[in-house]
Amino acid sequence: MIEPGSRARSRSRTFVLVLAGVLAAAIAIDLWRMPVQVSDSLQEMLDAQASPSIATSFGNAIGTTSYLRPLRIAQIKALFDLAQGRYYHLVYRGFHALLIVLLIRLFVQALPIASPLDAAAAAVALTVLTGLHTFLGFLREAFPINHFLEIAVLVLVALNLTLSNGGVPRARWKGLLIDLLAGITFAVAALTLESGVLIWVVIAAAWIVGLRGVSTRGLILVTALLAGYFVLRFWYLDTGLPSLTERTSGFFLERLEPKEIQQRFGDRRLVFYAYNVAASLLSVLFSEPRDGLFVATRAWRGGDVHPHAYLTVLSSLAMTVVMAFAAITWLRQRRPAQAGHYGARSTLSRHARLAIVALVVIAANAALSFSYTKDDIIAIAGVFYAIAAFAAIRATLEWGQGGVLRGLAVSIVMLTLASAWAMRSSGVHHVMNEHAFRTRNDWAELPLRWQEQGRWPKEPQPLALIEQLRNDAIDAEVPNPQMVPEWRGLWYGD
Amino acid sequence: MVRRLIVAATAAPAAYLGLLTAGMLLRALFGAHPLWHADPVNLSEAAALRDQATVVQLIRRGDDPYQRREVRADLLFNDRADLTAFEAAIASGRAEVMEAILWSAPRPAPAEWNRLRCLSKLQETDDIDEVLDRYKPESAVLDCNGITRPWK
Repeated sequence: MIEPGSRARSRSRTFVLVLAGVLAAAIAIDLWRMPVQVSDSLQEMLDAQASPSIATSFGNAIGTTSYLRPLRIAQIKALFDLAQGRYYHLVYRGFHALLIVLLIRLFVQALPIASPLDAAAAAVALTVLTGLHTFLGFLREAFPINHFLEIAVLVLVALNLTLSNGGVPRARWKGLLIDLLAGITFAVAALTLESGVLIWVVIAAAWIVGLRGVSTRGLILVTALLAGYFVLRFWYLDTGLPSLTERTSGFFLERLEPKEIQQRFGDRRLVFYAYNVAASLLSVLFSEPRDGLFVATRAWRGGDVHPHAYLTVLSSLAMTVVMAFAAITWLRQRRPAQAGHYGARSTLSRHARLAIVALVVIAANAALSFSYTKDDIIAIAGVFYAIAAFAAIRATLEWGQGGVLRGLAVSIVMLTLASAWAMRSSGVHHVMNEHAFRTRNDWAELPLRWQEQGRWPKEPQPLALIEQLRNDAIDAEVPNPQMVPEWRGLWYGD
Repeated sequence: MVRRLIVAATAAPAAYLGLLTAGMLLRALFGAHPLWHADPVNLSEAAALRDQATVVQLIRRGDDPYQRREVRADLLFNDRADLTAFEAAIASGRAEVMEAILWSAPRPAPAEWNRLRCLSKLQETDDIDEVLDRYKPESAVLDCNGITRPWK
């Protein structure tokens, strides 16, 4: 016989899984329909074509730039070879779609869903995950693999490892396997992008709050790997850090060119770095600034604020206020010591622990953006913002059960907030349409632009590759954003 | 009761989004994705709508950019207009579209080049002037006497 509690748990979980599956499938279709990108992608594919092997690609990427990302290049080459000179769209776009499905599945897996209250909070969290502006960084860009998305998936793998077995280390070989998996996850992520070191942050933060699916031994292993990474990068290879003059950057209300950044901050880098960290943090919490630039503020000063700006900033502000409210509630209602999944000394629920890990990751991701602030780079923080939103909404819903008036107030607030986030989430498809349209046009213009720049290849192999990708893109059915209803652009942005 | 109200109010918007999305997926299964369906446009309309890729695609399929086609009302002007793809690019002020057409189609004869260059001058589209100048036939001489815009 099925217990009523068990049935409620099962139904709640099924509801969230179905919702997640539907949202993931729709976004995966968007990714599938989008042509392979030209900028940041084509040159990487041409390099992969010229490389004789994955090992060569990996080796050549070590110590040649101010970055250490050999697995990034090796993966591009591996997928290129897998395409067998023909199935580029299938392999690259398919991999992108697969990653987004994995991200959403792992996100749901990390949420403790055991009741209708959990399910309701998780449903909103899903719209926060997919509606936050940083999520678009997982979709729009491809190099030709979206490595930010890849790292987010790996970070969620690490989080789920820490949550495995109810957050208690497993005995014998199963525990060893989980610890090894944590180590491998860290190694893969760190050698792909710098933000891979967030794996260590997740495992360490989870361990500190008592989520020890990855055991002390596992934490030591990952810490040793982190130390090894720093030694390899900064001592053995001496790759250093990116300079100030590599990219343009937003700074309050203006966009600075590399030269201007050097002039203004060449002798006081810390100011620039502090701005980037603060801007990244604010961006996740309030959806403003974007890429370091206070776009909504600038639009407001210019008297040209679109509904999209109100929607994004106000919904983020409201969600962050709910988080602050939940934090105050937790601090006030800290329960006395209780026995449970997390040990006899546990005083925090799993929701609260997740929220703490999420806040640590958000802060760490913002700190990692010190040299360059961009929505894509803090996209992992965006995932953890959604996890924090889950915990905060769950706490607020629980608080709302304390009386009829309280319940009514919470219902009205949640209906409004959840509607705003559902609206934001629904905008993903519009933005993908716009991006696909631009990408398709990029392919149409490519021969012209590259010939102007003297980049057009002469050898038959790269020419054949470009021709195939260009034909695929031009033949793709992509709607023209100018023919869609005007309200979409006003409410969804681009 | 309160618990149910709270759960319903919180979950309803996401559930509604899920239902709409599921409907969209169902339509996509039958080949009619509501958001990825491109309304058919002719070559002149594609040029007017900054759609270089469709311009290239249609020229590749044999469409003649020198032929006048109907541009539907509200796409470029309030009323419908009959324009060539070149004229539509000038009327919409899109230099990149003009370049895509010139790149993909046979070069204009001197007289036609002169007419297009004059239209661009009348329209004060400096960037299109620059593009057309790069594709100027050797024997062409700029003379805008008597040339007027074919649109209102």
